Amino acid sequence: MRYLKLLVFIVGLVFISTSAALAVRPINVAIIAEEGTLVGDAIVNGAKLAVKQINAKGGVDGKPIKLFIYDDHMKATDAVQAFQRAVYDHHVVAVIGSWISEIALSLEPWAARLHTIYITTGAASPKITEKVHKNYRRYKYIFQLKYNAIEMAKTVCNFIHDDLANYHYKTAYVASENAAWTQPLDEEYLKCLPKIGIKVVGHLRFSPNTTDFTPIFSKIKAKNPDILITGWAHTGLQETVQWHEEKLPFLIVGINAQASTSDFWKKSNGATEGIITQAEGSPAPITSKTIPFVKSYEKMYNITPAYGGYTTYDAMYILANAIKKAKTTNTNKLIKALEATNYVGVMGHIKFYPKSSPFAHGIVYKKGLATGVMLQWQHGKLETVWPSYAATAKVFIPPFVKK
Amino acid sequence: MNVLELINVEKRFGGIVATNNVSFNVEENETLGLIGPNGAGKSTIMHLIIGIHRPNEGKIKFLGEEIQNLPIHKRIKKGIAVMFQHSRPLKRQSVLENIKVALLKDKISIKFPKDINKKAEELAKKVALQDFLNRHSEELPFGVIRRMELAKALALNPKLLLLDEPFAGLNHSEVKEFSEIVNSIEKQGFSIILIDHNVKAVYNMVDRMVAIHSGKVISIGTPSEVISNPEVKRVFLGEESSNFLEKKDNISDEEILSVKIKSLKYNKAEALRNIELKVNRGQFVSIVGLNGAGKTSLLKSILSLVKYEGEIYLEGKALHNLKTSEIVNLGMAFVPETRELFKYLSVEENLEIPMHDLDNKTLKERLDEVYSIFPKLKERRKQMAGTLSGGEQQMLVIARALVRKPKIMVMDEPTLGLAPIILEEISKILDYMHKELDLTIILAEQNLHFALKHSDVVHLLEHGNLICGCSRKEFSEKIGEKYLA
Amino acid sequence: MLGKSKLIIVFIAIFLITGVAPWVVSPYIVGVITMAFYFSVFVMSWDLLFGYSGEVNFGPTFQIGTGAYVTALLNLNTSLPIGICIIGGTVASIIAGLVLVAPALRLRGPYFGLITLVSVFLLGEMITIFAQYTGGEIGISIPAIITTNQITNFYLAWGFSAISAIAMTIIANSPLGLILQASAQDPQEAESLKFNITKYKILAFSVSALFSGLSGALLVIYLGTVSVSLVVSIAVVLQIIISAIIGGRRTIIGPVLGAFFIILLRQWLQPLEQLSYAVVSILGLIVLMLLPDGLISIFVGKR
Repeated sequence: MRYLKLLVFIVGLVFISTSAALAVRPINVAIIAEEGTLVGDAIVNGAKLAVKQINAKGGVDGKPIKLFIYDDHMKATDAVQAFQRAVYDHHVVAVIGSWISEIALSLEPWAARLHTIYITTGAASPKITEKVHKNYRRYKYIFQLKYNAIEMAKTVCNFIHDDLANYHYKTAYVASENAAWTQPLDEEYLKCLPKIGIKVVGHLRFSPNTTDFTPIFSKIKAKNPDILITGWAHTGLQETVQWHEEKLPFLIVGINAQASTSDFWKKSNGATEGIITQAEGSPAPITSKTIPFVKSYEKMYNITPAYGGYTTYDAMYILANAIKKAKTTNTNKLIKALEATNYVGVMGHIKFYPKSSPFAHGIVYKKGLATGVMLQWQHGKLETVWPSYAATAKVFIPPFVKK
Repeated sequence: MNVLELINVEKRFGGIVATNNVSFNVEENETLGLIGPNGAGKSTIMHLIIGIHRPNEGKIKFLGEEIQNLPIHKRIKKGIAVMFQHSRPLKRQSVLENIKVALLKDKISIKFPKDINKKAEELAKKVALQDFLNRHSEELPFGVIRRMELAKALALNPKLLLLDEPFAGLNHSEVKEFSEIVNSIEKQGFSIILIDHNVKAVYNMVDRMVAIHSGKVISIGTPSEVISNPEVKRVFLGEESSNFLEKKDNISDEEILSVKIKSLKYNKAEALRNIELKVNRGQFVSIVGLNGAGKTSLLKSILSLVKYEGEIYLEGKALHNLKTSEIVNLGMAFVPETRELFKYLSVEENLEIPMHDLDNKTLKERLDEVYSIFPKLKERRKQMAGTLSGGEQQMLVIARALVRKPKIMVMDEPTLGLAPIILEEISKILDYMHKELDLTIILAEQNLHFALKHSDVVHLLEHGNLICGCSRKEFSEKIGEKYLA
Repeated sequence: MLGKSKLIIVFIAIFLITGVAPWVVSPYIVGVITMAFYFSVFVMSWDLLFGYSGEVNFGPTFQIGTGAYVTALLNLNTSLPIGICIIGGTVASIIAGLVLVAPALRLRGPYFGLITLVSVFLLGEMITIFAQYTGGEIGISIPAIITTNQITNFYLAWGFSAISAIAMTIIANSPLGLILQASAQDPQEAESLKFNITKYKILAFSVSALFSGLSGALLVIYLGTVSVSLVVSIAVVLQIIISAIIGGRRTIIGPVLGAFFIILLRQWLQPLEQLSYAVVSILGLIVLMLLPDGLISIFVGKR
């Protein structure tokens, strides 16, 4: 009898856990994101909005897209488990998401193992595409719909060169949080800043768990730079507030991911006035699709999209188009169709680098195609200040910053 | 030839000298009794021999070789075995497996030696365990466990066997059984050290005796020589009767406490049976007996700290259905053997705790009263209780019991581990409480001398039975010799 | 004796039943069971050290985490073959185990337990502080892969768990196991039976660390990622201890049952999200109240 009980118990468990895996007709797509984070929520929102629109127009050749959304709690292991579940239990065509490079890197071997397309729409490490370049056969499943850290740094340098020339800034201090994506970012900063005539007077990296920035700012103040160049994603709010309250006389330019969405004004209580950050998109005429997208997004979620919203929205359309073009969800054919992408989305004109590029399957970064934007908080509004064709305002220097 | 030789061995713990210049030897095939009252230093000597402690001075030689600096396991390998009084056998294993452990070599191995079961069974037979082989030690009585421990010691095939208080906690028949086994193995060609606080128990079993007191050897010789040594007599039996304190003259014959305990059991072991004890108001009653005789159990029953079968009345009021706290509120105070002080609180705080329900004025008065009895405590009232000396702690425990102004003071071994000079002080305090405060006192004591000195009535507790209940003069005449030998 | 032969039957039954899993359950559950096998080795090693040697070890993840991270970092930063990385991680884990021998010889019970707990916090802190190498809280990915085949991976874990269970059962029931138990019960008494207990403590810690470290290494290679939440955090420690207790301590096989119970239960309760931890704990408590000797006692009776 006792053995029978165990058998019933095991069979019961097995039954319950497999019952979810019923075959379904729609096209299943998985989103793995960090729920509760600004960018993570934007990834989920962007995907939902795109799917809502696509399905409203009859889906992909009549088949609706069904989303499976997983929260990885910012843990690589949870993400890996979610990836397996998505593939095995929900039979997804592709997995999209995660803005954390460490997590995207942990998902890559699983994309390779399970032969499943994975598009990261938030992680910036160039190592993600380096794998595709170096071992295409194994890692061809991976796409990076997001400027990588090197390109982000380039955007910052280009902006400084184009828009800040009048102010004759000479020195900069680089301070980034310590993470996989900021390593190549900082390296590129240190390379491109001298090229545009800015001297780097200091460089530091701090823990993403830092809560007290006083020692960090006092180090920076000691060097009296004209510009503080940043690489912030986990952090950002506290530094911004402290900078504003102490009226530190340098301009903050770089990546301040949390500052790229509308509610940052409220969160920082206006301290973000004057902050300049790179982003993949903004409520600006980057393409003809951008402003309508932002409007629908704001209507649905009461907030402007963080960069993950732009990228994931585009990713969903690009995937749908690829399925239409390939006329199948066969992975290998779908990869070919994705590689041939030539699509004007909300963040620009998107093409992927070929496998010969070190950034294989990353977005082609080029003036005229897609470059990303620079945003600045001005009088409570998030204005686009660069590139010129998308600009909604001119750069403004806060009164306490030296001119 | 000497199997074991201790030469001027000294062991100090901090400032306390536990063994002072101890020298004795054990000859081949000899059974030596190592006797002394509790706290005399017997265990220290045993620990020094097997290596749990190392001596500060002196040498220990085993078969001519110095061993005092070897770790335990190396000494055991040379041929010393020990049977501990408080053993902790493997609970989830059978008796057989417990014996097998002792038969294993000190070698990392995955397979049991082939003949190990046979060897273990043979050993079990030697100690009359053949019927218990597959029983788990958890469910076995004390006497069987003791025999199993003996089998384990024998498994080591020792040249010298140390038996630590082998009879403690055993009942009459078990004692008999165990002594017979020890007698039978005595003839097998090894030396034995029998450690005991009970002279009587080992008298007939040993070739020679070493008597220990306060860490010193006070006598060595044949049992009859040692027993007739005046110092041994003094230590074990107490001073001459002329040293008795003056008797109190005004004891009423009003009965204050009556105890009738049919039985008290711990699991299967019966600690007390058919106890009858009557105490009159103002009387000083002592209960003497050896370790494990049941003294503490009896005191704890009076305070309902243990469950028992029987009836106890205080001034006609039944106590057996009351909780300890209720009994204390009726005017009973307990001075436990273990003292139970709040070590990290000051002396005064320790005294104030039992008076938490009194108003400040009364509290002050009571404190002043006890301080007048214990001027030393007043001096140290701000000191942490844990930093007091043993004697001062004992005074504090007594003082703490006094502040509630009890009718009866129940004291468990207040002399335990205290130096003679401090005993003198405690003795004066007890006398004062008895005569001046007119308290009724029930004292459980192992130190016969100390008990006899104060008591109006002395009871002997032996194997759970209460014997005598006579005046101290009667007691020392009738029972005294018996108690010793 | 009867109990032991029943334990063997339970052992064979567990590994036979789980052995057919790849043909019965969904591939996702196969992945979950694969992880449960590695986890079961953590629990068995803990049982060997606590149940048999009596070491109150609140920090099994100190050894597991060291093994896992050293393997990962070796693989990430050197070009050593994967086998060497795993061996390196296992050796590091054994060293981590031996680090605890010295305090174990001096401290007993909860005091030693505290040291082991501190060792886990320390390891976690080190990983966070050296985030540029370790990936901090988030974790890092490991490029090496033994095989991408899900079924091969499953049987690798299955075999590893079975061999570990056999090895540890043999040790527990050998003279060695008996001596370990004797020293756990009373070190002085064990030494008075001529056993040099230092030697046995060293051995117990090494063996436990060997299996748990190796299991940690294999687990992270299988997952292709290592993070604090997977192999170091206190939540993992609790899961190991709860599994051992629910399964039935001092049986080696009981912990395997417990590991499966906990992992599958958590999987099943996944829709409850964060609440699932609480529900698992409560269910564990209920099991413990009904079966104080653990799940294993359903099969072998009370011990």
